[in-house]
Amino acid sequence: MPARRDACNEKDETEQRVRIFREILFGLAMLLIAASSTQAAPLPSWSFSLMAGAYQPNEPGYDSNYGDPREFRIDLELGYKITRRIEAGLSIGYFADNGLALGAVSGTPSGVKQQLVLFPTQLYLVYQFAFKDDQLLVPYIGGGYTHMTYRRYVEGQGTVMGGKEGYHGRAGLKFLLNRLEPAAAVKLYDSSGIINSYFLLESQYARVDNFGGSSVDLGGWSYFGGFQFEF
Amino acid sequence: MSKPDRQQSSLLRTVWLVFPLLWILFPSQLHAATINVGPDEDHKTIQSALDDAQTGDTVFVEIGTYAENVVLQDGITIEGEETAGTKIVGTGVSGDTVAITGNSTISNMTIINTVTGSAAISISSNVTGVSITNNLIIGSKTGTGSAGISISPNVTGLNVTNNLIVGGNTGIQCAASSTLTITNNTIDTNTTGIACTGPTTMTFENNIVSNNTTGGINFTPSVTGVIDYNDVYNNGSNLYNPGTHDFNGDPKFADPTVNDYHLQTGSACLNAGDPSTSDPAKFDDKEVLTSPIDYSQNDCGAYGGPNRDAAPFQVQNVVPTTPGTDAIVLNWNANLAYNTANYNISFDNKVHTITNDIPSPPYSNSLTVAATTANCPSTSIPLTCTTTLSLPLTAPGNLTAPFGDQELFLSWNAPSGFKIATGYNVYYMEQGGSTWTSISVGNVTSYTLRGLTNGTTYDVKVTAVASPSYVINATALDDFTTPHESHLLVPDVSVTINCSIPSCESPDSNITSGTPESIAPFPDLPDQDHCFIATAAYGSSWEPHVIILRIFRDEYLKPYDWGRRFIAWYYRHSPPWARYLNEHAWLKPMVRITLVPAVGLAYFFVKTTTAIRLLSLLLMLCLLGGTLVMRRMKRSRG
Repeated sequence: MPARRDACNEKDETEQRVRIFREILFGLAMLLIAASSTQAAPLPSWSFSLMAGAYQPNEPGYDSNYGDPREFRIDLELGYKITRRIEAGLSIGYFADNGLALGAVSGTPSGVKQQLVLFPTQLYLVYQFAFKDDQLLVPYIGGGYTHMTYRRYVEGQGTVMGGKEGYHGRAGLKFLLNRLEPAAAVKLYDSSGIINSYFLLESQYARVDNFGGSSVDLGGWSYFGGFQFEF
Repeated sequence: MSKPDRQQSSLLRTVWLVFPLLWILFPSQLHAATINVGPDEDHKTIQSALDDAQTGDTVFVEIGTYAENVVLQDGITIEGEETAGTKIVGTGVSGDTVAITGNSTISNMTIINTVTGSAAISISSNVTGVSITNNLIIGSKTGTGSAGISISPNVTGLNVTNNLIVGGNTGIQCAASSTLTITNNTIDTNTTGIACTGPTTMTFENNIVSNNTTGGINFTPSVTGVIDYNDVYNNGSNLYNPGTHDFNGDPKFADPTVNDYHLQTGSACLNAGDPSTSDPAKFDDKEVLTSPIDYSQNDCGAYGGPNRDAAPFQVQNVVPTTPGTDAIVLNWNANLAYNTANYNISFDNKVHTITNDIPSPPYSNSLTVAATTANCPSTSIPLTCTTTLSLPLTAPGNLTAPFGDQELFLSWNAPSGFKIATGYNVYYMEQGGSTWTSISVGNVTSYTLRGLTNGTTYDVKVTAVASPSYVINATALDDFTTPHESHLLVPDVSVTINCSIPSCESPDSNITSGTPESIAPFPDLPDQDHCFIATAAYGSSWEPHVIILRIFRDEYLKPYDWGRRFIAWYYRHSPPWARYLNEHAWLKPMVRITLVPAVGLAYFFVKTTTAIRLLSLLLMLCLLGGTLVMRRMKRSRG
């Protein structure tokens, strides 16, 4: 009988464990439900940024080929907030410039038109100095990997295409627009789920020369203004 | 059913009931069509279009002369493209040129009767609601019974407005028991202007009845109604009871010899029409607010009233002459209409087609000449205006010649003044040379001079060339704030000028020089998109196998001359194969298999150190050596 009792005891213990496990699961579920129901304004998980500004390539001699070294660049970014302060993301951009190629002998501008188009793609990590949810000014710094797809067209010589790799660093300052129009911010959240809207100013420096060597550096300074939406 | 549902249902029911009812009651209004008549249309004759027309349709007649008699049935509109240019000429066999048998409209046509005893337009008995507007109606036959417009008995609701009725036995003849409105017509140079018997109820206002040899207005006493504000001038006799404001003054027509019955300055008919403001639509010729001239009331005649044709008469007798060189002297008859202020002269050396007053292509040059500047006379004969088109061909300007690789990119400005250059000659020679080489480059202002030698400096210059043949058109403009413009002449007037320089070539442009040289594209970036066959086979230039091949190319082929030659050979021949591969995707797996050794070799070289490579080489040599030794041993045993 002791053996039978042991078997029964084992069965009881198993059932008891299952019951306890169910209760724990139920309790956790209730906790999650309670937590989600009591959270009035959830913290944002994602951010989307639209930035436009000027790009000034590093490569020496750029301005003698393309004139004014600063040309328009536009970037779109999608970031995921690992924590309230740390964000990882991907950005894609576009930059194009037109100029006249120089003579190989004289080094003077020819009549041959050339165009350089860059498509910067960046993986980045950003740390934001955000100490509270409705902080008006949020400085941030970051950096990451940069891949620059290029397309260079030269009249009469055709197009060359390729890509270069490198890295970049960035620093900026975000201004929380919710503080200006709180009522509008609430409406925006209700209609689209956007929690925070920022106006941002950012500067980036990139070095895109396949990580060193004597090859062409497609990196440079970028100066952006734009908007960021957290949701 | 809820109230909104009931309302919606009621609305649908109404639509379903009313629409078929409308279709039955007014079928023409629901599907009125326009049928075009012209040399290039399906309908070459007006009558064939009328035969196909339904009630409510419009038959639009393009410019041209149509020799036929037509019957205009009930509910149809005939509209000409332009009064002077759209003509119906009776066949001359029998009958009226246009016989109106029902409620219909005819406008903007020239209608010519060619049969003695017939009419240009006749209206059958018992017809109602006919409208005859803006037509030139030429009776042409003066025999008994010949008429411009012949109105049968019992016609009601007839409107005859803004017509010129000239040259017939009787301008308008009407029978008893009619109700007619005849306003703002010019009835001139007929035997009798208008003859009507009563009882007829008539509104006869703002007309000019002039220069009719036997009589101007011949109404029996039973013709009643409003008969007033008419100029009855220089007719043989008049038999009617004049209205209070009927008058007898010289209308001063612009040029009756070409049927231009606009009024000249000083005409008794200017501002002499009915000033009534009770019906502005009827008695306002719309000049008061739009013209700098202070018009206070309607003009009499065909070019007054609210429905008048506002365009000035087409410019007549345009004749170019070419005295001296590089110039055209243009003469034309002055348009003596009192409000013709300017002439627009258009010219170039292209061939134009003109449809609905739209030239194609547009004229390259035009200038506006004031009637006063062109010395146009105001009253006397000859009616000749004149202007000189000065056409010296000046040199092209601002020639530049930036260099390229074995080429110079030339660009220059077209000669100043009128756009008359029809082409350019480019001249070039090595600097210090004595003989220019010339190329005719067509009518462009830039050209790339190719096949030059790098490092050699070339002088270049350009001249313009003009064709001596020109075409010219002219229109008249009135003095309105937004001027009305007469119709273009069709076709253009042509002229050939004498050029002061042989071949009508301009003086030389500035001479400039350029030195072709090879160029250095910036930045100096490699093309990573040229592994054509491999890219096609693997599907992407970023596929790892392709990247390995690319690295191999850059590190092991490019540094060596033989490698570069191989790359150049590959780039030359690879694209067609790659294209073929893309068009036959089923070949790609086989090509990938074929490429395995090449990729493997490239991988070996790219991913291993020099020591491993030497060791591998040693191993291979050993294997090779061992194999050879084994074979020899086998042979010696054998």
